[in-house]
Amino acid sequence: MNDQQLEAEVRSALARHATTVDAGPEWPPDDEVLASHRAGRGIAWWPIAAAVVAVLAVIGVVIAIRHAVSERHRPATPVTVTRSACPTALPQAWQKAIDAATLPNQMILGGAPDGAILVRRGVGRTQQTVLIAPDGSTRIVDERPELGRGIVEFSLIDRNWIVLPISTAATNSQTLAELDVIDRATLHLDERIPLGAGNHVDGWAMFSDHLYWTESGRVVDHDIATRQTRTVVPGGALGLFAAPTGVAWTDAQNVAHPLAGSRPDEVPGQPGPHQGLVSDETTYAWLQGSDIAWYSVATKQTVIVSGVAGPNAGVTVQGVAGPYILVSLDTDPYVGRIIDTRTGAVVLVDLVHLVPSGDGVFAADSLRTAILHVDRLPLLHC
Amino acid sequence: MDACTVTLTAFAGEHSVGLTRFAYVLTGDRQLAQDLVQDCLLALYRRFGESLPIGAPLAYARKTITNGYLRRLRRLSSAEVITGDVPDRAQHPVDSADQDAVWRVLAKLPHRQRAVLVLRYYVDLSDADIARTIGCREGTVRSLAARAFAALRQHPALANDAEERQP
Repeated sequence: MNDQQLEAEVRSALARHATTVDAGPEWPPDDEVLASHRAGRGIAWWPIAAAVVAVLAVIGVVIAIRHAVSERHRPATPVTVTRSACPTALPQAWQKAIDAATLPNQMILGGAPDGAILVRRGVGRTQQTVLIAPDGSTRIVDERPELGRGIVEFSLIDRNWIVLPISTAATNSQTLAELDVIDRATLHLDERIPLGAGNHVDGWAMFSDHLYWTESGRVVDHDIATRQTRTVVPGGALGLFAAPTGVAWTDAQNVAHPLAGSRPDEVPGQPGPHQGLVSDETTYAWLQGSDIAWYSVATKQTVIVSGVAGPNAGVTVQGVAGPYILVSLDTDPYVGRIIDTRTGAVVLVDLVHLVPSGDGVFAADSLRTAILHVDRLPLLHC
Repeated sequence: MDACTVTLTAFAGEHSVGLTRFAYVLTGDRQLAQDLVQDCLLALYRRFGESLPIGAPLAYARKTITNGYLRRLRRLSSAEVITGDVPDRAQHPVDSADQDAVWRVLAKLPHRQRAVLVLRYYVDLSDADIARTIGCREGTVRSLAARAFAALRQHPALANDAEERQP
């Protein structure tokens, strides 16, 4: 049975079984059920938090001022601060910035630690891959027919290189045709790495001028400078786990095995794996139980923000940019929450699914594609 | 994003059955499908009230249902022991596993693999949209689909199926 036949069988089975369902749940439900949910409209914990907002505001400001003052007068020593999350309305300046940051009809492919972002856009019957510098200037990196041989997938970009994974077909491709390595300074194609026919490349990552990818359970290490390729893990790899400080492969038990640099789930000076760790090279954020933790390399300060979500809520730390963390809740998949770790203030934004980015930039690609320079925005107050 | 507002009641009236069908092929469990759709509608109500000021409420709902399914299973896996399969086929002969090898294999797939197949072949989403729905990269979507297909091909029922089709 070839791919097309199997796809047809799957389509047929799904469609056939779907039609055996002829009713959905009743809506609206009982008034009692609705009333219990009406009480929590917006954010479930909002009413409770609102009741203590005034107290938190005072505490938050006092703590923020104390730390601002203390940090000016003493050398950086490890310190941990705990703040309670305080939901607050999105300031007008932020709303304007988010509206202005939207990129219609573009898809974000990747972000660099210096805030540069790679996007794909359609121009007529051509797809262009465009590099957007932190200052907003743009340069075309790649151009190819929209319906041609390949489409550019999620890409890799650092300060030296851009790597474009090219699919073998326009959509729903099972395999990659090649990895194109482009010199970021000149935008010239440095190397085209062909991949074997019928490959199953699961993930790719770049660290310290090396390109890694997993292919049918193997991990391959390609030295961009010497153009040498070698297999470093013969089998059993399910994915790659990359961070600014290192790269690792993961096995079937989701255990990370370092390939280069430090463990990508480690925070400098803090042992042990950190759940859902993200970093922009200068700051880190992760899940600590039901709290969100943040660490600054420069100040050695750790901030724990509690109460962003309930104890059983599924939380994903999407990204960190300086003092700001963006998280999403499983129950609200298209709404993000930006936390200002200096105050504990939390605002709702329709930005989620962050692409790795850095230097004060959140690059989001969900219902809204946007590049938001949060470092240029005012502090969020409680 | 083009914002358009529909009422939740109108949305539920139009899509309740369709979403339940989607949830059923996603989970293979009629009661769980009903619960997930009800939870989804309540989440929409809690978040937006009676008006839905969002551009793609159907996509939003599908994502909520998919995440609810995957999250619920994660909780089940850590908190409950499933002692056996409970076939819910009494009312619907088509559910008989003997008559449908693909459906039987789908039931045994890891949940993210099954979700990818449902989103790709039942909802007809692109890989990019599937990646957004389940919160992963496009490459991971392809990988999950490839593994699901490999599992389908290796299953004896489908192998027999394939042999029977050969001339």
